[in-house]
Amino acid sequence: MHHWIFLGLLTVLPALGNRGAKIYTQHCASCHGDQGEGVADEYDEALVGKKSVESLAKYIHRTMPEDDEDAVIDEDARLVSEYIHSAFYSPEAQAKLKPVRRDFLRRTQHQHRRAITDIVQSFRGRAWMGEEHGLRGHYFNKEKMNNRKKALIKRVDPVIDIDFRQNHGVEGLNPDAHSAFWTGSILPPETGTYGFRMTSPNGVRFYLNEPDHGKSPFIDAWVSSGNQKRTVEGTSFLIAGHPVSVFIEFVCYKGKQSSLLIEWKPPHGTWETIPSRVLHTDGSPEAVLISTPFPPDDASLGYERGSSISEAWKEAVVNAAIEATEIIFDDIDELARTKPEQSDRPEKLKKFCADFSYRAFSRPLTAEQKKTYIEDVFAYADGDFDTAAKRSLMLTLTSPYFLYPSLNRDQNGQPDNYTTAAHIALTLWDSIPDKRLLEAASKGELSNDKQITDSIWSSVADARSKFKLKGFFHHWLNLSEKEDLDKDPNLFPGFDEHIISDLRTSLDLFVNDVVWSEESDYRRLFSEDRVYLNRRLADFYGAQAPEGNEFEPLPTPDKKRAGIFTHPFVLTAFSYHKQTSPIHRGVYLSRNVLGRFLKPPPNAIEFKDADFKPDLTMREKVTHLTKDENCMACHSIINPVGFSLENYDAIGRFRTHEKDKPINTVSEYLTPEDTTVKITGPSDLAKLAVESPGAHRAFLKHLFHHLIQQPINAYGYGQMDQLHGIFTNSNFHIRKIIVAMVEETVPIKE
Amino acid sequence: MTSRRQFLQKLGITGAALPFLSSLPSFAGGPTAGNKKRLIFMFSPNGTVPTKFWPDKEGNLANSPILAPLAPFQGQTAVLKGISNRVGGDGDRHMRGMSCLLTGARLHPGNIQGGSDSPAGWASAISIDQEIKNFLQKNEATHTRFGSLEIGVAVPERADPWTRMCYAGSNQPLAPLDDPYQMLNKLYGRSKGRQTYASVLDSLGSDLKRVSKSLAAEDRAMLEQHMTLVREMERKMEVAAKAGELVHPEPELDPNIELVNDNTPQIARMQMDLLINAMANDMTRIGSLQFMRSVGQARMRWLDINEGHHSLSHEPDKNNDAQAKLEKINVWFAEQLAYLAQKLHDTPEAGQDGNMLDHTTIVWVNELGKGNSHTLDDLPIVIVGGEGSKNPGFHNVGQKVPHNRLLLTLAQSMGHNIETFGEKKWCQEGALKWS
Repeated sequence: MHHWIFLGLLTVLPALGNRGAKIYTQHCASCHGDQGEGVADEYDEALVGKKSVESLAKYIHRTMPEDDEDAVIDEDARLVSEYIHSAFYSPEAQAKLKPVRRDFLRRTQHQHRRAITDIVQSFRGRAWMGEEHGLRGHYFNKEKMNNRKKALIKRVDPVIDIDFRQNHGVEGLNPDAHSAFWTGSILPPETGTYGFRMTSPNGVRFYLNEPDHGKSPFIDAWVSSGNQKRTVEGTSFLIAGHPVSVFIEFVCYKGKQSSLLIEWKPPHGTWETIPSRVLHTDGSPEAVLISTPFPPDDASLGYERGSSISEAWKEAVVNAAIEATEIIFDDIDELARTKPEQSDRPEKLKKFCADFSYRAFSRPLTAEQKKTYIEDVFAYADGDFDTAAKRSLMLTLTSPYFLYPSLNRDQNGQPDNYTTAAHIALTLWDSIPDKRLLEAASKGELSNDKQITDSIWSSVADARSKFKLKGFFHHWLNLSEKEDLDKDPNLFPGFDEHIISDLRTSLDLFVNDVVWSEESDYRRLFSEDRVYLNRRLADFYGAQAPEGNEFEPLPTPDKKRAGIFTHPFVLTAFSYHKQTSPIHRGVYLSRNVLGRFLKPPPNAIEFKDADFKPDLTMREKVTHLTKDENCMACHSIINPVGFSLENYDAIGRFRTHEKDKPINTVSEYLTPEDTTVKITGPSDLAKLAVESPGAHRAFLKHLFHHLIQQPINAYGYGQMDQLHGIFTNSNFHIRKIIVAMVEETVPIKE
Repeated sequence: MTSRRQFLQKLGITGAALPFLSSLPSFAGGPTAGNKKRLIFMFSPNGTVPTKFWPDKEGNLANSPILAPLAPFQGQTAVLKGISNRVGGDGDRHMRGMSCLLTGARLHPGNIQGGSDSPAGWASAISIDQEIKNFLQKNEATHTRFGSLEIGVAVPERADPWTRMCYAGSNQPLAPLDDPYQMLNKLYGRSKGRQTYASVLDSLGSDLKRVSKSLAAEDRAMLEQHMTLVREMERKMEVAAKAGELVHPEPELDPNIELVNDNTPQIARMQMDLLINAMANDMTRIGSLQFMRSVGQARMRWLDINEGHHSLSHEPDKNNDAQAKLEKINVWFAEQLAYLAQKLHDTPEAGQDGNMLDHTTIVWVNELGKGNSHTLDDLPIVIVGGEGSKNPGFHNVGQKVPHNRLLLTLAQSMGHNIETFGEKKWCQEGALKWS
């Protein structure tokens, strides 16, 4: 089929095709293979790349064939280049030659966890987090330890760090005997294990994810010891963007000291007062959070996908199902809307299980499914309906219809409204459809383009999209792999884990700001000259400090920043322990941001600082190391990008000199069109990222992979062109292109 | 029409429930040689009714209204009168009664204010059960998987000096686990959940097969791999069901007992069964079984008593109705002790002569002597099995004998020859002996 199209194209240009192909067969095929696939012991690498026809022609004219460089020159070189380019060399040709299949995928561990949480949540309702940040505090005087208290005030506390002997701001407070409690929610910014700790000489109880705070506290320090300050810790696994309720109870009775500090340690972060930006005064219902560990998912293509099955995965699925069932059964009567002795309890349990399967499979059960998952299990309950319900839930949570979202099709194997709803939820939220989507599907309101588009737009507005997008930036910026950002403490005193954690937050806040602003403009990712700073970062980088305790976008002292290119976190991540690394910066930015195609280095050369004279600048060292012609094929792209950022040291501080020599950031950069342009600094890089189609496409490709988890070519050869068109026509609106991606991949449109 | 039996077979389970204990033998230790000894503390709160508790001079248990349920163990039971909790310091008597009971040491000053006296915090020292546990765990011959189990029955969800009697050290209270299902999980991992899961494997296998058939060949590989894994799991479970059974199989718990006050009798049974099972499989040699808590307000409606236990215990001696109810309550506790003793008695000791009760000392303790006086004197102490068999009967051991000395006796009986425990000044006369 595709082969036929290929032939068809060739017949349009018979003369050219023939002549170029003939030259290829005659002079090139013996070393490169009939389809450029390579020949063992000759040239075994496939002839695949992103050079232009002109650039290829020049190269062939100059250097090919290796044993007789003058055999193919000028017009012949151009003809053979054209042939190679369209037959197999270019990515477009490759896409036509090897049509890409859409992978059959299972849920990734993140999708799996989130789906379970959201299914149970759908029986309780989702909490909505408003704009009010902090926790709501209620203060009292106490007359006795255990009863009779006098209400003083209610207020919103941005953070919990209070000394009741000093500026607590509570009028009429009895310093010897008082109490307080705080309510609200935490909205976790990342998925992972969080540490929490409380420091106080008094009595404190911390209830996390226990809205009715009736069970045992998450951290209990109600009994003090000699009014001595002590710190008590606990850990909890939380899911990004899924709010959990907080209830903190405090009492001081006959204490000479009275204070309370509540801190946390988020994944990748350090101990700090829980910041008000993650605290909300709104409450949230209990969340079912699965802590069963899963094996990591395949990320060999650069994005996570559920493409493999293993014993460890199967075990995790079973354990997660058991864990979920256990947690559900703690509150089964509340969830099933029944009571222990109620006569219709078996019916209610059965209905709950049926609803549960419906939401897990994201479509109504077929008669056969109803029999397997519900009827049979309950028919033989033998009076033990709890066990029957447990069986049903476990069966549902390990069922192929839950584990493999691609199975969401109608009786005839065709996609329908439910398929669309499930697709939207999976691509935007990594989850299952919510009530609104399921209702729309059941009413057939996801049938036409307008309905689908509208539905995608409302789904983008859901908080879960924010967290999925945040994951995209971490993946695009390669930050998930950058765990160790330590630098030499002698060279960079004060650059500690707190600064690193703050920088990470700063970058997250920046990209979040860009994506969710009105313009949602991709170009601002490279043009923004301010950096989000809190006091600690501002002090460290010598910038003007923000007024409050939170992060604010502020100018840096050098005033020469260009968005993510010069964000200190990115610059730090792509640096050595003691110095910058123009190669790391260059390779990453060329590939992921500027969309350049770089082959792996022909021979791996390690950068050994000790091999160089100590007075050389980094630029001089790199230039020397990569001067070989083999190296320069790619380093003529890599080095200029890296050198242009040499004004920023290994922790992203601005500098004008290195080893008392002025820094030279100017170089000639080889464009994909094989022209050279002068690059003088980050603003020129920004210009490239904003103007170059290659850069746009790199961004779109990464975004597509992160959302859809399928290769973009699996949606047709023209898919990228189409998306690129939409992107440029919409003023590079990131949210619009997200909607377009989800829309273009809705299975019903196939 | 499929019969239930056929259906269960179809689901992959047989008869009762399939013990899915893939690696269970490793949970427990094999029977070890030598003289195995165990110690259990059973706690009940709010004092006793002395006139109905203490036996006559002959020590005839059948004649004591409260101790009558223990009559079958007459020859293995010692009742000790004259023991006092003399540890002073901060905290009201309920608090000190509870948190100094097994520690024999003072409470830290703190913020918890009782009905009288000064506020206090946690105990300042390790409790005797943990002390003995640490001693046993150091020696390979006496080391067990858990070392000790702290089990609760209807202990309210709060942590303060009234609710904790076991301490790993100063300021380190140990919470008794009062949920039998969690206890079962602790002892046997997720085996219960897996057992339930086992019964759905067959359905799952058929579903995977059905789905797989509907897919294109390229997509089928993953499903087939998945199917193979599920089939393997089924096979492994069958093998596990046939082999590797424990000396004492995992107890079957009624899966539907809600953890509420009115179910306390059932929960108590489940917890005792689990404790005995864990001891039979030598997962632990030290146990504590804490009923409610000091100042506990359990409403024992199963005894037709609607008032809270603590409120009743405050009623004066002349309130006959209240005293009769308190007697009833304490009889119920004695019945629990009798159940525990009987079950141990009915279980032969693996690899040794006699039954488990011969090798297990159960000590029934209370934080107060009497509820309405809050006295810490004449604590009602009953020892059944093990050490209780040596000199059974009723023993008046003296006046205000510090209870630290009894703790020493118990430690020494377990082979841990310490000379002092808790506050030294209460240990001057050494371990308590009775004859």
